[in-house]
Amino acid sequence: MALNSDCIGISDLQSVSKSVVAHIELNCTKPVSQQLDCQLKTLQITVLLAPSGAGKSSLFNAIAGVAPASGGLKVTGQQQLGVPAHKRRIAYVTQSPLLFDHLTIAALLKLVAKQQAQPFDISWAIDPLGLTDKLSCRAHQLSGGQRQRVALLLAMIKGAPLLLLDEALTGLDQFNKQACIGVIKDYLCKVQGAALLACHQLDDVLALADSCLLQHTINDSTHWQMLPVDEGIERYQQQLIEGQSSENIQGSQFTSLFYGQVHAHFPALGLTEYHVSGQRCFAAYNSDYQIGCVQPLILKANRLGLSKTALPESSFVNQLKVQITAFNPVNMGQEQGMLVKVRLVNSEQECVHKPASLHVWITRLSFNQLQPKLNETWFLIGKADALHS
Amino acid sequence: MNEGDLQAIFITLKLAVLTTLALLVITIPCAYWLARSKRAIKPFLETLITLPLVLPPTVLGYYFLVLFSPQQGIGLWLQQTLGVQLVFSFSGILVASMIYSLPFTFRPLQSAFEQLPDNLYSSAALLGFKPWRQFLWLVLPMIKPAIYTAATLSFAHTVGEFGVILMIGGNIPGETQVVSLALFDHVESFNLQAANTLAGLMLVSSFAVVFACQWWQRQTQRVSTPTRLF
Repeated sequence: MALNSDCIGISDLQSVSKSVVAHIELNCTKPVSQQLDCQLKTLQITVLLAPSGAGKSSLFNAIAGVAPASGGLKVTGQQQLGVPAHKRRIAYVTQSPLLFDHLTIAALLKLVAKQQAQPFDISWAIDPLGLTDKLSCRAHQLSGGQRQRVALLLAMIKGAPLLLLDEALTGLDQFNKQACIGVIKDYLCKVQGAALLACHQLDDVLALADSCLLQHTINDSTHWQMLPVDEGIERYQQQLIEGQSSENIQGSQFTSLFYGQVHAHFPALGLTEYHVSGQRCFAAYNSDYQIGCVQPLILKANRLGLSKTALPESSFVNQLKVQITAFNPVNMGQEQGMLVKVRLVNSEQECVHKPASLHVWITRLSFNQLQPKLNETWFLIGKADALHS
Repeated sequence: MNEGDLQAIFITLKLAVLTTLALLVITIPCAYWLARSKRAIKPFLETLITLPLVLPPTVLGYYFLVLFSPQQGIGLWLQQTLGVQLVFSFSGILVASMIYSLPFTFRPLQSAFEQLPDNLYSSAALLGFKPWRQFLWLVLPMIKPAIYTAATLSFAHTVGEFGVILMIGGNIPGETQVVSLALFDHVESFNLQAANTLAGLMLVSSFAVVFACQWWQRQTQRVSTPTRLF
């Protein structure tokens, strides 16, 4: 998560003083009419939140100059529209990058560097991306994940301050994803750049993003609207519920984000205790977090449950008192179910944050048997591993 | 083997090498253009290029004779302005072999260019490759096997030519007499020993050239297919 200061406001204040990397006022018409107006500041990572097929790749192609677009597109003050793709100050990792198999990775990196007037030195990123012993290989000898990381390396050689990542983290395992995120952030620091990321995995969004771009349709034209991450995710989930078709709903898309204060560490148990709205909850131990600091926490709707009463003699370590605020029938794949929106009950007077809104997904069977009602107080239950930081 | 035969071998090799090189230089950019072109004229041009494949060599040779005859038309103009006579000369059989072998060079190249992935040029541009550098550094190395195939076919086809060369070049020893014509002469004059030597030589050398090219092609084929991620 990009936001790790004690107070949410500090990062907002910092971003005010940052310079504008990209000023985008872009219209593209193919295959769907889209309009994007936004400003990206130094180190800002913005995620385009939309389901597959919504036109994210087309928009990126238009920004990068391989598809037609109108309007304005300035990167560090220089107009990019009308400039051919190879001269644009934009680094772009496409969804299905082509790696030229007639060369080894080392030779390809060298050849791409030769094309740049001032190639950006990417040697620092080879080791963190785990590609040191793969440089003498050709692309067909690499795994899918390794090829994806090579594509990131290749794109970075341009040293362009605007980085476009189209599903660049999708399909990577957790370890490599963390490595890529680290490299992306370091790159943005080094070039004083900003990134636009298209993805539909909310975990990736939470791990990287400072802000979201969300679609809304006006007169058959799609407009992208800039929102803070938590608000963006909530609205995106609402969009998914409203326009759901059973095959594209996944448990991971109903991820809730809220903030907890680190209260205590229990390294022997492998747990860290947080306080959220005066209630205790536990997540996996993380020694990097100092006692008292506020950390973002993530809960996935399909890894939680509801109980009418507290379960003191159970294995569920997280039992949070919540109030039910909404019901939405949502199917996950074949399974019929109900997405229950709840708000944490605040047991403390001096709470800094507004009470967190969370999603819990229960099966239709449980819903029919338990018959929860609006505004009732229930217990949200989950094991510690249901909670991530 | 007499001096005439040696001359015929030299002329054959010279003709095959020059035809192959000239054809490659001309057809690579043309096939690249035609493979990417979506113009209405494309099918017409493709038919024209394929025509020498189906036309009897004598028909082709006849039209060359008519077209380049120094008495009229283009032949007369070439004779008067450039002082070049294409009929019954080495340059004549060179031009004729180029046209005769054109489909064998053009087709494999065009098909290789057409099989390159659609996103090749945009991917290369995104990495900062200027258009001509995309061609030089990425496209050409990727179609290397097709270039070898085109070169082998063109070379082998020129070595085996008979009808067209006989029509336009005549059978002038030391000028337009190639091995296949010299062999024909030996057979006609019942000089079977000389015919055997020439025929055997052609058989062995053709086998060796094609075999070597295929081996070479297999070595490079493995590394020339582009890899897509998904």
